[in-house]
Amino acid sequence: MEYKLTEKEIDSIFARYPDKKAALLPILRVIQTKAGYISPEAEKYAAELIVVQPARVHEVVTFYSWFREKPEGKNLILVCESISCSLLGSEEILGHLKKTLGIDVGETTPDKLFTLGTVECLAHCDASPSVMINDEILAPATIEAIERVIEEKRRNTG
Amino acid sequence: MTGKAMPTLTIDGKSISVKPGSTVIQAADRLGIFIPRFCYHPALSVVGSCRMCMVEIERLPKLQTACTTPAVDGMVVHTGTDKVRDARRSILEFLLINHPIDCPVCDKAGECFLQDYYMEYGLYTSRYLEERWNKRKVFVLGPTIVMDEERCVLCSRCVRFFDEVSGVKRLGIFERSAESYLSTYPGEVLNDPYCGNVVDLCPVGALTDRDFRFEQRVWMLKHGDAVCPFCARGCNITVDYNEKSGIQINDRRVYRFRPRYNPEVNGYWMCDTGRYGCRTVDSPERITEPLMREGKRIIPVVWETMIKKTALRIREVIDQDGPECIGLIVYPSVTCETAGAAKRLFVEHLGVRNVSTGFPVDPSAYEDDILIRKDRFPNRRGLEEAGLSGGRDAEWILGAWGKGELKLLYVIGDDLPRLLNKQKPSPIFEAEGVLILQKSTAGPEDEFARMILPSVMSLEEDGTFINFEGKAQQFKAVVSPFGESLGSGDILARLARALGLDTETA
Repeated sequence: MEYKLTEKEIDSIFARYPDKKAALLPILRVIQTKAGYISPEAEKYAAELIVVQPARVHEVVTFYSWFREKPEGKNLILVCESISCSLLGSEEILGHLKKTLGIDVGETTPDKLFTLGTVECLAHCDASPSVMINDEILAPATIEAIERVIEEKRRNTG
Repeated sequence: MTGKAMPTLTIDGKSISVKPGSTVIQAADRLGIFIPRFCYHPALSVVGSCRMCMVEIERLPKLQTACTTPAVDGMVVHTGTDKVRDARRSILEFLLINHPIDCPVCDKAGECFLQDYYMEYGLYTSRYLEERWNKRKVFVLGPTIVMDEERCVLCSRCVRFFDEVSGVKRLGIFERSAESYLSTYPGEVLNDPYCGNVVDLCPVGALTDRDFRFEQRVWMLKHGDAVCPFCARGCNITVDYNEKSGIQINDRRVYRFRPRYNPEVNGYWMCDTGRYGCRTVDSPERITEPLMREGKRIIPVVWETMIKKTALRIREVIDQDGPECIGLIVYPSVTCETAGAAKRLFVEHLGVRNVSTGFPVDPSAYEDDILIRKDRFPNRRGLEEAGLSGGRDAEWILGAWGKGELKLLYVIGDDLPRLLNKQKPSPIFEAEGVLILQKSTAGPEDEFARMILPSVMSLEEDGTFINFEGKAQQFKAVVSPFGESLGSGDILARLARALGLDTETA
């Protein structure tokens, strides 16, 4: 899948930072948006753009759990496992998701629609338990609310 | 206003003035007060990641890391309070959560920071009841380095060494927090002319040297100061050896070279060529006793006979053909003292003029602006200054030798680059005349030699090397001579006496 940035994208990112190296995170975000994940080739490409060794890029890619290293589903569902969410039932929600989607944590449904993950604090402890679906936060999350979102995603992205 | 003033601070009751911008750990090091550390190293950038160097500073509510805290005028630092000791114990407790505590089979035991600190500050009885995480053991990173992920404390010294000193990012720390691990970029092999340094830098048993690993317990080793003889830089080294290894001819064996700090020459580092050059010291190819050719065979003789016969040969050629029929090649592997002795005996007393100091530097050899020099000999400058060079070049001497114009060729020293690289072609010494070799290690030229006088290697004798920058470095013998070999200067002095000459007063 195409991951390379256009000249225009590169220029506009570089223009925002005094040092090319600082542009790594935004470059990786563009790559992930385009290709869905960051392949080893894409890591080497990003390394060339900002003139560092690929190992440096790999450090950054593996540090942030938001960056994906292999192709995953169209929708990423992340369930918070931190203390307040756990106390208020995140385990139950995770169990329900595993059952409904038929996959374990870290796996992707055969139709490539959903990938299930867990995450540490999403900063919505006041409305625990919280779940993140793509870029949106669902908090407090209930099994019914999640069911609705899954149905909606099936309709829109299926 | 006082920007340039030297701040004065007090550490454990001792006060010291330091350069502005110095850190507390630097000031403590200068005072000889040791603050435990993993990630801090004076030659690498400061990251403050290991939290081991916490100290108490008066008027600051929390403990501070000594490596990141700038020394400030009037600062009062305590490094041994209960609060500090508690912090150290806690840090060590965290570090040991998933550590295998396999010191009995760990090669680093005895020189491991983690082990040393734990003995002093540790909790001893673990409070950890959960199962330990298993990570990669015996993971080969490259031809010289092996990794044990369970022992790694993620101090990033090795990562910073490659980033900042050797210049290429060879290692990285991947993933995050408890899952982080050290590795090369996936699929890459750790290969660098300075790899060995990361084993010295590693404060724990995570990175070990495939050459030294399991050879010796470090507390069995004795240490001696020497100068690396494998290039014109002359890096200062520590030689680790065992006088009673029980497995070698002399019962003594050299196990390891490590760099020794010298800001004027090599800083904290040395290259792998020099480091693994330690294998040449007790190599099975070392010559153990004087050898003389009888017909097709080469047989061992006692030194007395050797010296007498060698002197006789030299005398014969001088009397019958004159000193112009003698050639002398001195490799720049020998010390200044040996060069001086060779000059007195052959040039001043015997009148030999066909003198060469070996072969020119290989222009295709690897060189960088860190340490490694193209010239793989330690003492070319020393030979120049001894007045030995400037005569003939070695090619001319070998040409005359091959044509039979020279009746006797005396070669002193070892072709060191060839000792390290057996693929390197050797000069052709085949001729009718009398070839006498005075050197430490066997080589392809031996089959043409009439006499072989075993001499010591540089760590087995006192001497001086002058490096390419003109720095003279004196050294003392670290280990006893191999087999029956003698110091080069000693051999020449014995020869002079047998020739009826007194070179001492020359």
